[in-house]
Amino acid sequence: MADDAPVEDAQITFNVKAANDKKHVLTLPAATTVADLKTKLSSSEYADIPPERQRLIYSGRVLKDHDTLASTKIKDGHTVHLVKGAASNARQNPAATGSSTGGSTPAAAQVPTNIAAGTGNNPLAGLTGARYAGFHGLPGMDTFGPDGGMGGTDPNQLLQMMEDPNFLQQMNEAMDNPAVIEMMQNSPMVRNNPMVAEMLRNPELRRAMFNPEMMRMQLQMQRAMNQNGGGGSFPMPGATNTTPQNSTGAQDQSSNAASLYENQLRQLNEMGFYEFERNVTALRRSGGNVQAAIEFLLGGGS
Amino acid sequence: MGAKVPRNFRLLEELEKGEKGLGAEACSYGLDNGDDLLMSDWNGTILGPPHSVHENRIYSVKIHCGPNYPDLPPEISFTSKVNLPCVDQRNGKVDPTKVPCLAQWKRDFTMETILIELRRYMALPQHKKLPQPPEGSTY
Repeated sequence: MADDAPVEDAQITFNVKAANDKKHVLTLPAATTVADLKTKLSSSEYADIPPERQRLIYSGRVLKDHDTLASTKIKDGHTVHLVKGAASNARQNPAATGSSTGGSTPAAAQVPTNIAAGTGNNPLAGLTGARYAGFHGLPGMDTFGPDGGMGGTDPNQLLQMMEDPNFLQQMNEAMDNPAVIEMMQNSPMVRNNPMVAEMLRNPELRRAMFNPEMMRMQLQMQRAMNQNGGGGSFPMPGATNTTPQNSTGAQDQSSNAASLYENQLRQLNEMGFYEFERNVTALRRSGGNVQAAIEFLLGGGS
Repeated sequence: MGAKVPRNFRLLEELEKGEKGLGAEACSYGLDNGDDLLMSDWNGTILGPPHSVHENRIYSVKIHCGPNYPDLPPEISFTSKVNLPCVDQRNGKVDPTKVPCLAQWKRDFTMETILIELRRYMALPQHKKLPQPPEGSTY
């Protein structure tokens, strides 16, 4: 490590953090160039990555080989990130035209079974083929029922459906299709609830809402509700209906809230709600229902 | 949620976190110019999320924290060319209405929040396969 002969120059002790969570502590003179540093890091003692594949990032900048530690302003105790880059720049993706990407349905164009392509192109047609003969439970749009809900379907069946990548793809496409969104917005459930309508109008939220993970959660929850006769308690992750539950006290104990709503909290986090306290409050109010919690959070509740 | 942390204290906190690498692995950020007393202009990098076209790529962004940060979100623009619906293809500016954490900015959010959010945005199923400009090209 500090194998350097005594140099006149000031020494800097800093960390290099590699992608695999390995942390190397180096002490080098300030005049060391980034190229030297890379050579040093390439040894098996450190990162064991050839210098030309190393990318060093410090303070939001990619360090260039001719920079020195002094010119990059690395100080004692600071951390440089080491990333393993591609072998060379030869492997490149076809350049995009870079014109307007618009943001409407960029992905749909690449997908052959686009619902918007017309009625002759039934998106679920593929599912009736022999390949999917076993999956009788796969839904048509009628699964969603006249009220836009998923009322009449067996939750188990739906859960199973959620595991099917093909279905997920259909789902994503459907969510990219303005017609589907419009249909949902016109369903009475949504029409009478401006909050939900607003959520549907926001593409990001919409995606989050129809994220398969999320839907799976909701289904599980629905099921749990039914088992408990509509009570507000949500089982701990992994709890079965034979697990003894302390459903009365659980919701009041904030210490339990974190673990009780672990999954929901993670979902909220993933959707960009980072305030732990508020998330917990919202989840507690909604009895663990993520969607209701989002409504609460967006509604500016505190 | 406690006392309001004034802008400069907040930025100093973020600066330290960025320099020491205490934050998330995939993102890095720091002051563009260490002598900038107002700490307005920042650089950030986002490591392309794995299993997407962005894998192994490093994206540079510029972050401008105005005088009202963190009450208002900073302005973000990509220096590296990237094809994403939230990025203006002419100048690399990020459209704040298309990124949830900017559209619904909260005072508790940090630059790291944004970088992580942008990275997650890249990894979304509908974005992770978008054809990308050659690596290393800039706006």
